[in-house]
Amino acid sequence: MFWYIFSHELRSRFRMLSTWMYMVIFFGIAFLVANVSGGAFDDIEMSAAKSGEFVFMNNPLNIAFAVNIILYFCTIVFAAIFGSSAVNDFENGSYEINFTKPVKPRTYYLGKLAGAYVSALSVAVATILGLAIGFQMPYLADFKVGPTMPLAYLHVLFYYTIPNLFVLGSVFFAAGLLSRKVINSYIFGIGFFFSYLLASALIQNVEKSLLAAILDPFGMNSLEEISRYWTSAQSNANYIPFSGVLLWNRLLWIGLAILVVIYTAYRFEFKTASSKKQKKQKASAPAPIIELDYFTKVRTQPYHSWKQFFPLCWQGFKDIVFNRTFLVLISFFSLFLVMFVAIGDNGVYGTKSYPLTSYVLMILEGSYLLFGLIISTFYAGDLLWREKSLNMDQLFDTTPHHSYVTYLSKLGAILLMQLSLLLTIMLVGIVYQLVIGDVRIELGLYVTELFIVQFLGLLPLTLMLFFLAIVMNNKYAGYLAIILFYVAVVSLPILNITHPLLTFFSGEAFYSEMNGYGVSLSRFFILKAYWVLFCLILTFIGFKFWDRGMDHSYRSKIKRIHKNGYDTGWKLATLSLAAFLLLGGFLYYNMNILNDYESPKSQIKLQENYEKDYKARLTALPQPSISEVHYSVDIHPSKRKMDLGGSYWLVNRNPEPIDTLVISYNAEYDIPKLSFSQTATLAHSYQDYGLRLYSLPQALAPQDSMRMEFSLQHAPKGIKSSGSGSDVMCNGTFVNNSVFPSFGYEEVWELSDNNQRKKKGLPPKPRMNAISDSSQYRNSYVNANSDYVRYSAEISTEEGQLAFAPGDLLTSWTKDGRYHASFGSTVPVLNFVAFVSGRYEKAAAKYQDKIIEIYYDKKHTFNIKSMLESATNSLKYYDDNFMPYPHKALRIVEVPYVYFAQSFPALIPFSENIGFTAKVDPESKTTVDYPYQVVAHEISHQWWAHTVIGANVQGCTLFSECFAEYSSLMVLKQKYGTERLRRQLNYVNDSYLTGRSNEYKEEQPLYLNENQGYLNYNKGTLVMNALQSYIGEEAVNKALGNFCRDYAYHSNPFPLSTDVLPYLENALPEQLKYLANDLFETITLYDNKIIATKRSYDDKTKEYTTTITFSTDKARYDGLGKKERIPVADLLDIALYDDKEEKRLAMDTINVSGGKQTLSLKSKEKPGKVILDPYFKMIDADRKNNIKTAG
Amino acid sequence: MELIIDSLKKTYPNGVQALKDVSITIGNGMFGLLGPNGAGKSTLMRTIATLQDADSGTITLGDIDVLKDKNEIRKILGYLPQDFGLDPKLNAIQMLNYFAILKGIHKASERKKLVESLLVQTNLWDSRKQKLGGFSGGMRQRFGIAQALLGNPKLLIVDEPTAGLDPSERVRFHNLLSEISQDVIIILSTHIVDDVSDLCTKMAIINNGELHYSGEPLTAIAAMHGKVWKKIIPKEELEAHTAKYCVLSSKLYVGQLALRIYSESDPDDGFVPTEPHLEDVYFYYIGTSTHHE
Repeated sequence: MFWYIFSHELRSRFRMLSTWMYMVIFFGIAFLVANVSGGAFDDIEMSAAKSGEFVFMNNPLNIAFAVNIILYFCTIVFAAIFGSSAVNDFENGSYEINFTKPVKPRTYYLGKLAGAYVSALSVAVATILGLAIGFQMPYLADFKVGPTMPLAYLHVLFYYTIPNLFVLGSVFFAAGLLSRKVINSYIFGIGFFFSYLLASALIQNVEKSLLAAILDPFGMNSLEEISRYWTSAQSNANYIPFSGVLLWNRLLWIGLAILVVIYTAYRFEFKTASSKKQKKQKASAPAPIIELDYFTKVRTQPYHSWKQFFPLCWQGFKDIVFNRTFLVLISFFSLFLVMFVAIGDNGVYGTKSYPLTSYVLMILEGSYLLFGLIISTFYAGDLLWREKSLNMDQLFDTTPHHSYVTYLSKLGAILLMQLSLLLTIMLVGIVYQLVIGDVRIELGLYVTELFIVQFLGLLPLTLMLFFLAIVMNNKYAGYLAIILFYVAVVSLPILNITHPLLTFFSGEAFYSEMNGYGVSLSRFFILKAYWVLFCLILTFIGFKFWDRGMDHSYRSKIKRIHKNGYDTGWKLATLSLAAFLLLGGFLYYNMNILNDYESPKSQIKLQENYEKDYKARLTALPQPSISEVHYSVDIHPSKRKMDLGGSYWLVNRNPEPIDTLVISYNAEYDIPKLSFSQTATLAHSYQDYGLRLYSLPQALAPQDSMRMEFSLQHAPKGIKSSGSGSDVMCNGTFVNNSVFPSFGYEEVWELSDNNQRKKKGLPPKPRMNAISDSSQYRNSYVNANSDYVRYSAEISTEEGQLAFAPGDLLTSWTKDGRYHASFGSTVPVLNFVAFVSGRYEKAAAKYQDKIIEIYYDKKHTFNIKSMLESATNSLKYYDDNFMPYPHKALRIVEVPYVYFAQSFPALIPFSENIGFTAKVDPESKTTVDYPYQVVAHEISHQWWAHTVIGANVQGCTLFSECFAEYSSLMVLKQKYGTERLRRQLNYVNDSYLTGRSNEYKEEQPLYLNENQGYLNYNKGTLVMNALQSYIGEEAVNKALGNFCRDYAYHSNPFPLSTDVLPYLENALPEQLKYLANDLFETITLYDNKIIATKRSYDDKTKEYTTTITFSTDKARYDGLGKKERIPVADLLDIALYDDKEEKRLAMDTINVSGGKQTLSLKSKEKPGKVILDPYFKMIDADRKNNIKTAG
Repeated sequence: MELIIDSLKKTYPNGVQALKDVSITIGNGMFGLLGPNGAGKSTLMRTIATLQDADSGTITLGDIDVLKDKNEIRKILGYLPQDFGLDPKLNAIQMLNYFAILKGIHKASERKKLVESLLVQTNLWDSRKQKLGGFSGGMRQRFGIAQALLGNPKLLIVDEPTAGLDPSERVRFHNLLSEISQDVIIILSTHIVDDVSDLCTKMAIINNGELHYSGEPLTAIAAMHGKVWKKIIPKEELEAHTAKYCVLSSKLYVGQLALRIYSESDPDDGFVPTEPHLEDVYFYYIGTSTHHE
């Protein structure tokens, strides 16, 4: 009987057009994905598990990722397959026939489930085939597609697809079968969809990644967990290992699915009618005593559309909301919101921010667009065709109401439903804020962000939904049209259509704690108005297709529309069209005529041409160096404009004379003045590039100098196609060097992606100049053609704001409603400047005669005290160990939007997002006080960058970022002690390993780094920490101090990383000399692990003895991550800790020589954990197995 | 007020001529519309009820051009279609209240009282809080009647209203209709001839989209006086009789057939004269002679 049911189900599934359609569509999608990944289309990149210049898109990892992600996005299709299979017998009424046959419910259930499963699997197999065949296409780029590994496809089928479909299928089928409603399958589909998003949010955090990998029902996170540290070479060569976290994940979910199947098999029984009994009527109330003919006295009243609209709208809303389906959906939604908000902020080193209203909103509202879109689509169709599907339309259509009333009331009901979702978000957010505490609940911001910004964000789409649903004249055709519409909208960027007037979702409102919405809100409104008007045209046209009565054919609709002629509807549509065109014209004028519009493609073209047309010509022209600067910056925040001026002294440091000046400036700025102390004639001006060539009739002789004066103006010109149109913010302006003219060919404008360069016929470009390239030694890596300069600046802003420039404050005054300040420096500084203006509170401290000031937004008082403390301690530490601080003051100034802090001479603009709002609990042992550390890091740049700075070649950041990380780590250690650094080092270790795994090109040894964050920050931290662990903090500081003093203010040539290595090598004792090679000059990783531990207790000595068996391994890697093992001859720390890994109980340092070794440690207290290398002296390829519970 | 239907024509896209030039004038009171399935009754009723457009012809009610001023006619229209659904998740009060809003009863208190009075009138008071999904066919039909009576319509169109009602409910419904029929035009479409003879002062018979008779039932019956004859025959003789006479109906009667025929003069052959019924009129006009109950 099972086989009968099974084959019957299978046959009927394959008789359905939809099954074949799914197969064709999935095959097509996968084929397309393979083609896009394989580089079949110019300028389109496909996201992948791992990508990079040397990573194949068809390696096992990327294949598994592609198959999984396609099937993941089609979860809802599987909900449809299983759900419809579960309920089709109920829906078409044939269940009564089936149930009277001699078949057991269990057999019926299992047979149908198996049939649906096989048909679903065939869809999945079509996907895998599509991908496999897609990657065989001969026209694909050979650097993207490697050798075919057939086993990889089988692995993904057996490890992922087969189990996943079983998990999904068992749940979808059970949900549909037991409730006899297909909607419940869909609800679980949405549930699964979000559960992966949720698990993904977790995996970013190294401490929770294992949990995330196990909890994800699709197993995709375990894929990410497995390959977390894989290098390019490993990704290309490794098959997915079916073990560890993947195995556990699969076992867990298959187990759960089996339980679901068993439960369903027991629960499901044949019943012909709904088992739910009507509730017994309560003792009936007596009929009201009314005049029996009352009904003849109440007459239909003349049309009062509004009086009908509101009750109908409310009724429609109630129909949606007070319904079990919606309640389940909204509970799912709330549950996800709660989980997102609880885990959404992984923080920095696991330290989260205070749940400020804007942060909570940012986490929560992300799910609204997707969820609101899905639910609105579903209910828009449902509501529009409600009367018809209930066969109520004849009653409905003959009642005296204007059609637009019901139409609008349905639209209103959907909008109310959306508001209820937004209200849910608001409640979840507020409750979360109350639970965590310590923050102001900004109701106004909730209302603006949710009920205005988010609500309006979905409004055009909602109108579009109604239009499509009506015009398609059928509920399901409507859904199909909507899905196609989404696909079209999403694929616009692929077709290089990015203009805001052509992209349906254009208009974004950015909120900053400091600057509020700035002007982005008005830009948002105007773009939304544009799209709403567009949709209104459609709405009025669509409304013409909305008809009453029995005849719904297009023929009669068109006949009717024709007959009605140019009625109010057309008039309104015309009116909307006129308004739309007017506004569109206005926006076009603003974006394309007042401002320049550049699509990504034209931007690339511009970059390509710049290199092709000018590189050869411009690089041949010697340029002067800047030796003195004076800047004047007048900021007008309320007008968002800025007047700039200044002068340079230029020196010819070249051996040959200079006859042409190549001047680049920001092309969006007006440059009314550019004059020279000697005759110079404008030879060429390329406005597109902001490039001017001046020829000097009298060439500038070597060592000769000249003066240049300039003024620039910047003001927003209406509305730009992207961005706010101005570098000046209402509160918190932050501009840097890039606003001022510079000299020579700008290499940073060149295209950097080598694959892209190849397609454009450009030679490959190294990420950074080779360390042997001596032509670059005269440039520092922060700017070219500039020495350490004599510096002065004047800055002004509107009264009420304060303005800052680098250097020491000389004077400040207020005149004519403007605040002015002048700055200067007694020592030469890098020509690396920034200008800031905003409304600030001030906190100050002193270290010796140095003034330390923090300027912050009045809402962000949380960490000011600790940041001041850090600044004071940092100044002291660096003063003592490196060199005296050259300036009189040090200022940290808060700025909006950006996610970094940056050190300029005596001035540190510091983002509102990376410290000011961190929730640091100094008492908690698990908190990493990163605001404290970031302050220390940035201050150390006053030495490591501003005192010594590297030449513009590989390895340049070794003594800026690396040493800055080290310096700040030591300041942090001073406060918190060695043990407390371990948690942070664990994160850093993970960041280094994931960083090298995601390396796009090649990894270098640290001394040749190419400014990759994972090298100069993360590996830098690990390396320097190891160094100070081996030879002591003092020895390291001594070496760094010597280097710093020896190379202070060295320019032309600027120092190289190879200049500092001898200082470090000299600090190493003979037996540790190898460290220089291991840490700086090669990529050397250990793979140490604990194999077993055994704990025993001696009653006599009252001591615990823990025996540890462990192994050590060491390897060198090449740039792509190819591994070569080398002999181990190192010192390894092995320690016993308590359960919380906070208190060290015992430690021994032993010689290790690779392979298995055993060691016993004694402790008074009961040991909880055994840790290999607790202080991170060795960079370990997998830290997880360095820790094991003792016993 | 009179409902004047003039030269109404409707052909469906599939070529079926549902209405071929129909003209009727209907005044206040109950008007019976008789005809077999597919005769064009429903098309006619839907056209009057604004649910369909006619190809040509006019319908006017007083000053109202029904085919053009649809919203005007809807204000005074009550309509009970033959086949309709209701929202299974709402109860009777909620649903009727919903229709009351749509009918333009704007005052909430008035609406509440109206809904209650109609539920009492249609004997649904005790089930008022029951979900409509649990309603039996008869209850649903009564609900349909209640919603049609909302807003005191001047033109009430009811399509097979008593189908599914038990005899006592049917009587109750008939009483209700005749109570309100004094200054209301009620068009009752049915194929139960007795309903018409019990209730209607005027009637029309249509078949194949054509009007075959329009007038008072009593006049029609009187006109057939002396022209209806009956006879009991064995079943096997039916064919011979059908060929020979204008058979109105034949019903089983104790194993044999009771045959009724139309004849201007005495046909002899064992036929005896009999009193004409409205049913005879009906069968006479639709011109069919075989009818099995």
